[in-house]
Amino acid sequence: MSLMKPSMVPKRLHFWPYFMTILLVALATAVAEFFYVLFPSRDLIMFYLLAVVVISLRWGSGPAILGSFLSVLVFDYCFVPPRFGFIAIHNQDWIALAAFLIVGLSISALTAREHENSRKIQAIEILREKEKFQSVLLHSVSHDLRTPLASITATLSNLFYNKGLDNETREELVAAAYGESARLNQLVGNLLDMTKVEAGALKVSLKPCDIRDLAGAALGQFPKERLERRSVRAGIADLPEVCLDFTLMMKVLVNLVDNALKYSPEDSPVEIEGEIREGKLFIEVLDYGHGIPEKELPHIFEKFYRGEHPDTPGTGLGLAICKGIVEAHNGKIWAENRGAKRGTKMVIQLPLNTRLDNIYG
Amino acid sequence: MAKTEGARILIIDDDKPLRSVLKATLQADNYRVFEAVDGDSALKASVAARPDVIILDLGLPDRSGVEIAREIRSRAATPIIVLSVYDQEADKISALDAGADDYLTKPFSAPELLARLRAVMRRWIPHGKEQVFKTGQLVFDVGKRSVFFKDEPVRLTPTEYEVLKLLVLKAGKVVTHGQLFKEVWNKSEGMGRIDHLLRVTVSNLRNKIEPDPGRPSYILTEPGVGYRLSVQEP
Repeated sequence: MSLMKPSMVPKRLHFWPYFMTILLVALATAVAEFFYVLFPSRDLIMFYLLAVVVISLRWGSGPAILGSFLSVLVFDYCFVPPRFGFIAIHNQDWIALAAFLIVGLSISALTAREHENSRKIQAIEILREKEKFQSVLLHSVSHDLRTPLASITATLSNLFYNKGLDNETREELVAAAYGESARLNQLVGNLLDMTKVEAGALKVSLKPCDIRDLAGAALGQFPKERLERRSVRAGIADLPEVCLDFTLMMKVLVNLVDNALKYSPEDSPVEIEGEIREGKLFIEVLDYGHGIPEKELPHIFEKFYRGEHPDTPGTGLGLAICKGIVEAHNGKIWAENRGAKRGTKMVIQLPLNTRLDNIYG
Repeated sequence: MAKTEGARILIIDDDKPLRSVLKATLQADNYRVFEAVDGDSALKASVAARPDVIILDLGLPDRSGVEIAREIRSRAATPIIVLSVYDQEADKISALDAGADDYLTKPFSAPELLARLRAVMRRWIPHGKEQVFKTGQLVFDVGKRSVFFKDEPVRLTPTEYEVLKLLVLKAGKVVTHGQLFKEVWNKSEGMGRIDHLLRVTVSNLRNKIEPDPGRPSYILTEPGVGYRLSVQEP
């Protein structure tokens, strides 16, 4: 029912199916004419019945009615003596017309009901998917928020009620709780970001940016100690300014560098590179870890995806957020393996010619 | 350098638990703490308590934190640090433009808070014999209009010098893009060209004085807000 393009005609009355009806009746006439030579008989009207069946299956009741009337008229005119002339409308014509209308309208009614049913089923399925997603989300959020909270609560209650703890233990507990509170903060931030991405409420404010500054600022978000232990380098050569949202894109880089640090060995470097190729800006984050299994590569940007390492900390939202932000910039993001044991490269591709604008992504 | 011991801090925040924690933290560092819980009492307290620094939470229920900052600023030069939450970009910038001196994003750590306090209380007004500012390997001499890095003179264009000077005068505190446009280029807004010039100037400055221009340790970027000269303890 959907091969029509929107036209200037009022909604209910699209031109195309009626045109096709006339065409099909003409086709039936041609076929009947061909067989008339072999057996001239009223049975030739069956070809018109076939046409009406096709019309009602494809285009519904309106065209079916037109097809029925048209078929009977044309058949009478062309094939009932006198050929190519009307004397009167015969009784058989009325019977034929009635039969065509019954057949045509029944088929289109049944077809319409069929479509309605499949639409309903689709809607139910979508609703079910949504509910499933929401329940997974709630479960995941609940778990991810409560886990660091559990640690913090345990520590604080311990410190509060247990006055006999030695200093070393107290230090350890407090350090752990401090770490967990940072983790909790990151989770909350991720959830908020993800909600915005999902709702299409991500406000992207495009302004010309210095890419070297972007990379430097992203690295500046990490505590010095974390980066000092590793060799983290930002190799951004002289690049022209590119229009993007500094704060959001910085968040993307922070997520990518965070992942690179988490999933590669302690003694391996992490690099950020940027270049302009083929009229686009490419920003890449490279690590020297074990790479990502090929079968996981297409899935890593999915929400809550944690791959084969479900115990590594994180909600699995980081990359989904990156994807949301990059796509809101009309860009692309993907991961590549750089060969056995040579680690992974996360690539962000951004268009160069964007209008300075506030856009909602 | 201003004496910070015993300095009077006014906390304006409607959240009691946070006020308690801030108070405890500050008192542990020998500050004297005063509190106000909403906009109206805040304005009264900003006069009555004679604070040396005001910590103002932007999320007050009754009045806009930005408005309060503006009102306080219109009556006194007391340094103001605003507290904002993640994602409250616009408020933060408005507050800074309305007269706040710096900001902290909740949640923040105690060392961050104390460092910010020290930074806003540090007021360097070059005069007489005190015309030289040092941080890490950078030496900035206002009197002689000269800059040295690792004891080597650094040649700066007039614009580069003015930008660096503003950052130095507000060393340790954030300087918004707006403040830079106004002080260096005398423009109230950074329309396209000036915006671009500022970025280029900062990039050139980094090339000249940063050991690793790609990972600056002196001229830090405050995303979406401006820049900050990091004060490195010698």
